[in-house]
Amino acid sequence: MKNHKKLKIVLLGLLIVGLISGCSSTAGAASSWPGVAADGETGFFAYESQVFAINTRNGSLQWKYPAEADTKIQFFAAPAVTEDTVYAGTYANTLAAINRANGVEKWVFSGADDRYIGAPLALNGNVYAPNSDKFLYVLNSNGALLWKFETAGPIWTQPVSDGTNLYLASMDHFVYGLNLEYPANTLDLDKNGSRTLVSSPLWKTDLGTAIVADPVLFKGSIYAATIDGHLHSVDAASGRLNWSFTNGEGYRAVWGSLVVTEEAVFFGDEDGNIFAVSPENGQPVWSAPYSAGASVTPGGVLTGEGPLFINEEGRVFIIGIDQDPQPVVSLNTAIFSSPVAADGRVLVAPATREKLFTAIDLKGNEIWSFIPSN
Amino acid sequence: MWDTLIIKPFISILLFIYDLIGQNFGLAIILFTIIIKAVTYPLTAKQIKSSKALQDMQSDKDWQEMQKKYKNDRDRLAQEQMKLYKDKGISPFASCLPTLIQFPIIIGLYQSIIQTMGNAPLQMLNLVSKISPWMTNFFSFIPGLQNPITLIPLNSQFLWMDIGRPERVMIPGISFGIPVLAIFVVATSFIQTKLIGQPGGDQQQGQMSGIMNIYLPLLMGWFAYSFASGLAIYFVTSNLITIVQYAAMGKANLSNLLPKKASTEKKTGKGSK
Repeated sequence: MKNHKKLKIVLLGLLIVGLISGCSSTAGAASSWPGVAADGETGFFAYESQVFAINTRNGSLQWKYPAEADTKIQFFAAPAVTEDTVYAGTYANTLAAINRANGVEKWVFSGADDRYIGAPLALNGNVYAPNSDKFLYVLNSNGALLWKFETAGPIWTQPVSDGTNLYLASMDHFVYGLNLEYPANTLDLDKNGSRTLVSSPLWKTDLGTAIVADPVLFKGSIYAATIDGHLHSVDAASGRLNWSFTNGEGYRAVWGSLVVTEEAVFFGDEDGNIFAVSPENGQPVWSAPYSAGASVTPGGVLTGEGPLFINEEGRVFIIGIDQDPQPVVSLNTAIFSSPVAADGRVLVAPATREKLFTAIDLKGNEIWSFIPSN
Repeated sequence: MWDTLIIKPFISILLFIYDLIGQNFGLAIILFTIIIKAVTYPLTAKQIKSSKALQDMQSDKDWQEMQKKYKNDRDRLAQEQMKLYKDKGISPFASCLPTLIQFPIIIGLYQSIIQTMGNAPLQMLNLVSKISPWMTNFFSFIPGLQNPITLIPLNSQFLWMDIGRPERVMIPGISFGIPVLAIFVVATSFIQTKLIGQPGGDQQQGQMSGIMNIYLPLLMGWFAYSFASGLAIYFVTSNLITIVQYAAMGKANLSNLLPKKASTEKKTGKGSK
């Protein structure tokens, strides 16, 4: 009888633990999806405790960083890649510079106070790293902080540049225009007394709600979609709002990559609709959106055969200006990561036990899939 | 179904409160918890009364005689117990029903707070899909209300803490952070379980409640230590309100907070007279 009572207490305890753990989204489960980047014949995948460099032709592992996984450090931001360095932000508030050839760490920047969720941008020997602590950090190739810029919200998107200026979209609802470089004597003192702080942007434009989908710069305009489902075009030179397009009543957030061509800006929303909007005036190209059947969280990528989109259920298809979708393949698994085109292939990150990453051709054939061997 | 009936409305109310009080998420959690606890108070009161009636029944002379008389015949004992409940006008299930009704509300409250604190992509994706403007539309006559989607991301700073992250206070000279809020959670959980615990019952019941009095507060403290501090704010608020509710009904048993040795001696003394 006594043992029964004890058993009941243990079971009750386990029930409470299970209940609260199950309800807590932070309890052990991944809190984001893999970040994917590619350059030439190498794909770079950031997922959980490691960054993987994989040959896009055959799926062979070139290196992984760190060589031994450290569960305290998590990678989800898509890496930035240059000829010799891969920059990967972590959820442990650090940004690592990794030797592209062999995966050996060059340096680690630990000056941020929060997670790296948006991908950094590597340009002209510098790296522009957005952080959830509301700052954009700009470092040189040795990891020294050159300057930083503070917005009013976490920054989850990759900055874009036209080679002259830098454009940054933040969750504070604003898109900012910045210089690529700031001489030290133009900077303000930060809270540590270092002269690293940019006092004001060139311009800033309020888009009304948070921006979590990477903006795209195309022919002098910045195309940015927001979590209430609006697509905006902002003039990169002046910050003037060219036009705004709304995807209908209610909130239909845009999370995935936009695809911008001469003909249209293609984007998908969480309701599973894909829109094509004129880049000139923001008018819809199609009389009605195309229904992808499930949320288009991953967004799309431009391939040789047109814009390729993936829905959250793993359905891959190409859709052009004629709104006649060409099915590619159904991967039948939940996918949230934006696809990346590389060397005639499309890199996808299902992040399942069977396929962590996979490469398909435009006919839907799987070229390889990768699962770490521990 | 669960999301539609419980989580989405709760998230809407939470965001509405957050907007109404000047975008302070910590205060919004506290107010929301107070409101839910106030709304469910009639059920809580009924449950407390029923529990007390059942507890009092155990010291009833008829009840005790029955236990002795039928101690070797469990079926008969159960029949007689039910009969006695009926005679005294007590329903043994009256304390369960309010708990069952409250349970989804409390779980919904907890889940909606957790989901609203989301500060990583998967959590934010989940949150954004559950935001609806119905509360703002309903109270559109209140000036200054914002469209709830524009409130994202929420201001997670409250007092010294970031509500979306575990709380620690760094003290100069100490290399690690002190989890002040987790300590509060353990303390209030301990006081709560002690105060609302009913004296009496058999030895095994005493052991059980003794174990729960220790392990439950520690378990809550561990969650407060490990998860976002907004959750700890909810735990502390909920514990304090429960204590106040019991005290208001005169059911907070202050003697339970005294050292056990002293109360045992007291009991022994009484018994020997």
